[in-house]
Amino acid sequence: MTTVKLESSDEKTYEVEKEIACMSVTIKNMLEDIGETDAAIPLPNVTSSILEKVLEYCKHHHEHPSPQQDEKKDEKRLDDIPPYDRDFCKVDQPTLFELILAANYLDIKPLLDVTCKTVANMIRGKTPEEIRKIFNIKNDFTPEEEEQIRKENEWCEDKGN
Amino acid sequence: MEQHQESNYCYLLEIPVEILELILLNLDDDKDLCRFSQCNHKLREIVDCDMVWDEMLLYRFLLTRNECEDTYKKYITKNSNAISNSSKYVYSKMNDIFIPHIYIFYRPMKVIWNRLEQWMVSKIPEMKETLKEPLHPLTEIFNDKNLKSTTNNNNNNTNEVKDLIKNNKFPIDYICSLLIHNGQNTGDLSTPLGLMGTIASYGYITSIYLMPYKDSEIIYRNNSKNTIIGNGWIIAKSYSGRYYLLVLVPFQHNGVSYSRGQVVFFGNSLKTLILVSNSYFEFLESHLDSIERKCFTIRREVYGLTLYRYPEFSNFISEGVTRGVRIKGSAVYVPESAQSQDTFPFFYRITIQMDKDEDPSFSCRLLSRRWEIQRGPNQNTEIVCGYGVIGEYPTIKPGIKFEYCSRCDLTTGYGSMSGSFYFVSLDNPNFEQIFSTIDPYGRDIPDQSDENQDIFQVIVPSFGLTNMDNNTKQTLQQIPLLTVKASPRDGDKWIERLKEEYQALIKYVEINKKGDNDWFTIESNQLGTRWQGKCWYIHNFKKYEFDLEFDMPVTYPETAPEIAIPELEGKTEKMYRGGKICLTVHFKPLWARNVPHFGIAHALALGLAPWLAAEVPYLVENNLIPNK
Repeated sequence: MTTVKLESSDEKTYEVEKEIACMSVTIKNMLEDIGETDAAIPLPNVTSSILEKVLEYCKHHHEHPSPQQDEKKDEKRLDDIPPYDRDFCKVDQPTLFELILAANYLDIKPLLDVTCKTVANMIRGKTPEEIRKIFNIKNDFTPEEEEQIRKENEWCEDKGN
Repeated sequence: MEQHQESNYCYLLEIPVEILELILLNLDDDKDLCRFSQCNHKLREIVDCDMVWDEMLLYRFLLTRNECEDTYKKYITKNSNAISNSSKYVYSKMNDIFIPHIYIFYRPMKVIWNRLEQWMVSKIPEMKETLKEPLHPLTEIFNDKNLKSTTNNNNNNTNEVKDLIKNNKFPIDYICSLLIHNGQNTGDLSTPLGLMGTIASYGYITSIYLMPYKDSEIIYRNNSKNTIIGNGWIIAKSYSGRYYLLVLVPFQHNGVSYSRGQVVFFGNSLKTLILVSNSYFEFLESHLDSIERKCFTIRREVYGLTLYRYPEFSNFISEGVTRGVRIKGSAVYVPESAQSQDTFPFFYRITIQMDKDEDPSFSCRLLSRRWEIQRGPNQNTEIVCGYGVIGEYPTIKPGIKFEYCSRCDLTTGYGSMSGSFYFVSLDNPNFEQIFSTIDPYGRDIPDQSDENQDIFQVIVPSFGLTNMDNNTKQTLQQIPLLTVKASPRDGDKWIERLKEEYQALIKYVEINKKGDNDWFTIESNQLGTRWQGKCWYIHNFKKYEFDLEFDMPVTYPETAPEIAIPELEGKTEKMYRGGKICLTVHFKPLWARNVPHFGIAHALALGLAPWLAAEVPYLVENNLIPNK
């Protein structure tokens, strides 16, 4: 079993199976560039706590390769998240967004997909006020602007569904 | 980011815009997008950008922004100067036109219509000209004042239908279709351009048109409300009274229940019903499948190109001649008329004729016919006898041609028919006597085997009923069959099998080259376990080429190879994971019946070739593949 060493931004080192590490396209490319090495691969954008989560995710999916659904072109927006992934994403917002950034940086598409879907689910079906509250978004519209924007979007609220 | 641990920090706005856009991609409801955009300035800028809403336009309506602008400008005459140039504004206008719950069916219906239009443009361009502009949904169906003026009818059923219409209770797929094309122009009778096809026999020609809303309404009003037609809405019709009815009120007929939304075809009389499909969508889709797979014939007539519901010319016409009477038979698979999943309906066409310069003393009259039908590969031959054909006893003289069409249901996609037709010469002294004793319902048909001098027979040799494309079948017959049954694990026997595989492939390539129809190259690794190559397909004069690959299953040849075109993975629904093509339901049984005689060449001819023919045009039309 080949392993590789990964080093987080706070200089903790993790020894991981190469196949698991290579679920990250970024790491895979790095390994291909530098070839066989004993040195730890530095991941300056990922903290140890997040890296641990990411590795947990990769390890799970390496051991339980999920039968990928036949991706239907028309329904790519479906929000079905497998149970493990759904539980995995039940974290506080700082962690969730750090995971998104890490998945993006490490180029782990399934993780990026599932975290983005999780955020989208938090937005779905909510009023603007509710969305602001969930994400601590500051309302920087003046009352006049807000009224005008509300009118602009009225067509969508009239749908009666 | 970790330094901002205070609880009122907004993490969402700290992530890069590209990732925010990924999140937006998961929001497929315009309402969510609109609300999200109302949160603050930055989100408004990101969410309301043209890219996001252009994508929504494509997602919902399969239309580009320019196409949408054209569509909604048709409906908006006033305030047209108020058009802003944002995609979101265009989307909101489309939203006004298309009642939101219609979205669900609009998109799949649009896919069907795009394919229909594509087919028309390439095969019968004049037919596309007959398509009407979309129906204006707001004025014509939803606020129909005309229908309210006819409420003085007492019939309960009718009132029920009227209520359905008034309350906008048409099936949504039907409405969506009207919003794309409001049927066909049926004004000009001299050109049979009916989208549902033309039927020609007994010297008359009739073409079935897809009806515009108004015409359906007129029929609805003029028809007796106590008939079956009173339970629904005519959606397609020929001038000889062939109807397709969209059922609006459930009813029973001859013990069969018909439910709302189903499409029913009236046979020769208004009392014979054939269930065509379970929805309007399925009705159009199955028709499209039939015409794309060339189940119908396109013929050039004096008035131009016409889509025929029956095959006139076929590579599989079978013909017999006796005493100047020439009889031709051929059949075509018409899946749209299946009444259940277990039947394979075929229409067969019989032409009985005598050449003009034939001896007039050969003139005769048809007395009876006898069919031998094999409804499936492992089934007994069934014999069907009867007087006349379709209730008639045509007289055949020099220059006379009598044609008729009938239907035969098989239990599989493959079968055959052969027939004997019995005639009595007009000069026969016993002519009157023979015909006077006919009992059309009786079983006392003259013994076919006796030496009855009064009667002569014309035999139509067996013709195939197959749902395969004719060319495919012809090609298939020329590919050598294999004999060695061996899988890659069978050592020397496998080597023998491989040799046969290559022989068959070489022959198939030769046939293709001879027909100027070369379409693939293929080779295996040394063990013959892995095969790779290229295949290509010409569509609208452009060549589309793909890499193909497959592994020999260890259970080969019991299991057919799973041919894959990895580069097309995810681009079409007719594909499994890894780019393996979905074969038709008929492939597997056919393969299973022919173990071990079918090999790779057969799999390519029967599996990949029809798949490419069906999918490449779809992929091109939807801009899913670039041409090379």
